[in-house]
Amino acid sequence: MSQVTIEKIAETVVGKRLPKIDARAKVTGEAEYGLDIHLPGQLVGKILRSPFQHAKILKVNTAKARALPGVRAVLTGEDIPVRYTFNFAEFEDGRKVPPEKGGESALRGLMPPPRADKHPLARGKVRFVGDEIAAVAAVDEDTAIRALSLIEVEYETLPAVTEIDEAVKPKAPLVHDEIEDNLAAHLHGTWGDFDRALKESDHVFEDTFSTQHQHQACMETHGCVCKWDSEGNLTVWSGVQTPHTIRLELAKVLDMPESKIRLISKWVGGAFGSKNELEPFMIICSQLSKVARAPVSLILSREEEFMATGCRHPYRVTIKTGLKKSGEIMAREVKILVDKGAYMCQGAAVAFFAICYPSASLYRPKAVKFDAKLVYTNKQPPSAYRGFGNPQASFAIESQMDMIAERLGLDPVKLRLLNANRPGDTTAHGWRMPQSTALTECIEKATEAIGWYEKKQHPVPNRGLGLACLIHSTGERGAYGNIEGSSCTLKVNDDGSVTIFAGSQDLGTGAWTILAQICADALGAKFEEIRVVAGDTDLPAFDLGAYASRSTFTGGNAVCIAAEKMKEDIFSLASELLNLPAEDLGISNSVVFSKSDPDIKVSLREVAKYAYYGAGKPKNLITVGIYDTPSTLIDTKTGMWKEPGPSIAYTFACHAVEVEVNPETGKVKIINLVAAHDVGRVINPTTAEGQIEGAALHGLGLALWEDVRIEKGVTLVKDFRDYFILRTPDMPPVKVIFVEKKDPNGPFGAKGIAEAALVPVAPAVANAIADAVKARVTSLPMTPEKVLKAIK
Amino acid sequence: MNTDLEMTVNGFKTILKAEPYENLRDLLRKSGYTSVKKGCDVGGCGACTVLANDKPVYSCCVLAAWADGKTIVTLEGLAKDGKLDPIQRTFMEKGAAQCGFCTPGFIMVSKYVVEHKPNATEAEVRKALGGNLCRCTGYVKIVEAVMAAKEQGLK
Ligand code: FES
Ligand code: FES
Repeated sequence: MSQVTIEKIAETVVGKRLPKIDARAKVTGEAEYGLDIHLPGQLVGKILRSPFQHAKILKVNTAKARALPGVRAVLTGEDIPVRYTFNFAEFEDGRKVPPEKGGESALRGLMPPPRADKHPLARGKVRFVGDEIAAVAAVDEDTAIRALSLIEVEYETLPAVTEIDEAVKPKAPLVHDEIEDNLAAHLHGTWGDFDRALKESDHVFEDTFSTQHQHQACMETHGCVCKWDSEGNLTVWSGVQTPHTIRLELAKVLDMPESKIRLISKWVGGAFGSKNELEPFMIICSQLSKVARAPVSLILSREEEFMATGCRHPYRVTIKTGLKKSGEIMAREVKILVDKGAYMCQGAAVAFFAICYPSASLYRPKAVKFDAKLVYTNKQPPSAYRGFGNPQASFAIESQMDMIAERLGLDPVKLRLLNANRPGDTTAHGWRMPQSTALTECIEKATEAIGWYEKKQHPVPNRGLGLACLIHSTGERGAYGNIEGSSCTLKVNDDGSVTIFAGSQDLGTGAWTILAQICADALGAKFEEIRVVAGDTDLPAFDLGAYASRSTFTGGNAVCIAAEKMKEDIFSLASELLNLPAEDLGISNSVVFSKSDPDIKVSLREVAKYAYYGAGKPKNLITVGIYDTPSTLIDTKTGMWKEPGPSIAYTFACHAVEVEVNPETGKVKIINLVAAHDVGRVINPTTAEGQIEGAALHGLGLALWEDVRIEKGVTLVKDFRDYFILRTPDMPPVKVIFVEKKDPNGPFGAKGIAEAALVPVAPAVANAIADAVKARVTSLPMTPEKVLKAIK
Repeated sequence: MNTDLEMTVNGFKTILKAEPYENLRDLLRKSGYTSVKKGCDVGGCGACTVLANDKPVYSCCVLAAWADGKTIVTLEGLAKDGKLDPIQRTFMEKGAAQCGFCTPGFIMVSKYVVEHKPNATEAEVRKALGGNLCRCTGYVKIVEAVMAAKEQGLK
């Protein structure tokens, strides 16, 4: 857990708007995504999916499909008899806790042990329309599709439960026969003296909100290419967020050593949380390839993407808040009902995040009580999506803040300022807010930029202003084992250029560019001469993956550590070349110089040549940077965290929105959106803005339009004609404000940003609608119908 | 059942063999022009946009046979002698490509806009890009890139 002091290092590249290091490959079409991989002899894989919500599989006859010329492999559930699930927190203190001990969880006591509830190909019964039943690999797509149509499945349909209210009723049909009441998981507990905090409150308000299925809708659908060699090594090409942990899970399911699987993931066509867990298609594809003894490409169609890949969990959230007369928040209780769909995926972890983050740590409640029930239904299973439960819970909390302000006759801005988290605060569950906490400044800047008080004085009919705040993580200890780290190998090549072999993953966010910028300043090397090689589990680097807005922070710190070590090596060699003590040496722009006489210098290239070929002893310029944040796991005895909690650089934001509502039609127009974020030091303003602007698109969609409509278990959305995503002409202006308060632990003071900006948009819009037409919509998306109904 | 189609792709006269029911996107992709992306199947995303006789089309929405005798340009064909087209450069400089999956389609439409509507206002540019989806950027930097390329072209 070493830490580099970067205070003294000059920032010449950090903070600059530099083009991304992989931009050229993207603007020339050279970037090769999963669907572009074409190996000799490659076959096409396809999946047969259930047409029923709930049915017993009586018989699967594959004889005709197998007989079709060109078909090389046909698989059913009988051929892949494993059960698996996303295994959140499978380790404790680095040791694997066996399932029979109920351990398996760094969050034990609060999180249920993960239960394997999914077969890659269904066995016994199917549980949603889209459940995988069988799969084929054939010489081309046409043959594969024909083969699917030749597979005969005999079903016996079963009564289905597709709504949570039905599913929780006694005697409801069971999605998983062994799970009573369809209760997939139940998380409950208290932090602090809740009863007392409630008693000390002068006002108590309780309100309920609901959210919808929102889809990540990455432009690149899920998929992979799999290939085995004769020694039993498996190579997988797939654009994912978490190459190492997906490999870990795949190895477990296939019962083979991790190192015999190589996952290559250089280009990811969008992820947003949807590509961070092992999914059926990858297991299926690996087995098709094994049986067919040929490489197989299995790419989901857009329709499959909408019907069967994890979207955002719909939540029903009831928030009870106790406050003092002054508006000071004393107690908060959150009850969540989650529509889990047919399988668990990351459901429990997402709900836990919704509880721990906004519910327990936005503002300063003294005590928090929570109860989340995840209910199985015969529907497609949602999973992780940018924000990870935070958007749903924040919609409830931040909508209610305005409702409370109105009921108590308080100014919603002042109410938030009064309760805003401050640096050094400790939350009810034991998290310490970092010195970089700047929620107050974010609220002030956002309201100022949107012209809050002037506009309030001169109201325009049907126009309204709303705001909403956010807390989010920078990295999250407890996702896997007891680390929150990253590593990289740094190499100064024999021409003096630098290669970073990074564990960090880049989903298009610019994470690899950020690493190069950090390296340039931390090492004193020319930015143009730094390359990043990453996205491959065979590299000498490790990382948990790109989720929880962690890459800049953890990956960046790893680079700083490797760079510090590299400088020592460079200086020791240069001191031989220059005949000067190493302490007198500095390096900048790939030139080593004497601090006492800057005219005495030697290029990094010459140092490298000397190192590899001339020193008379082998001296390779290769260093490793390993970083782990000083964050903490939950104490399983107390159910609380020791400070600082799972993240050490919580981030905050405030969004302010101006809307115009047409009272005749209920249509909402976004006039302006201001997003103020305390991101610490901004390493690259262009990529940081890009994260906020892109997240705003998802946030507005969540607020107003996006909905994977599922009726009686049937997904009605098949393509982009049915799923409305904002397009260029309709995208409102987004004003980004960085509140740059350096974080003491971040690389050059940086914190995470990727997920945060999605979260406050929906509640800010809801509050603005309420301000415009005095009508409160408590259910997402806020369609014209719902707005009209609220007005009436 | 294959038919020979004669077209000019990225400046080269080529004969490509296509199934009668094959769409242009799939033909181009299997012929190695993998910048032509597949984001959907029904003209919903624009990731497959190419220029056909100088006009942007969703290549997934036309039959391959439709392109017989036409001049097709894909993203692979924009750079000349290793020199990027101005629109490619501004996409890089402005940070208009995040994951990059929508980028080929966006650049092809943008190329058309820059060349044929050099005086377009920002609102007109936005309208012209309305047929393409991007899930990463919020379009802000894409629009900036097109405006910048247009300005350079006007100089
Ligand atoms: S792939 Fe052609 S429009 Fe989507
Ligand atoms: S950059 Fe990812 S879809 Fe546009």
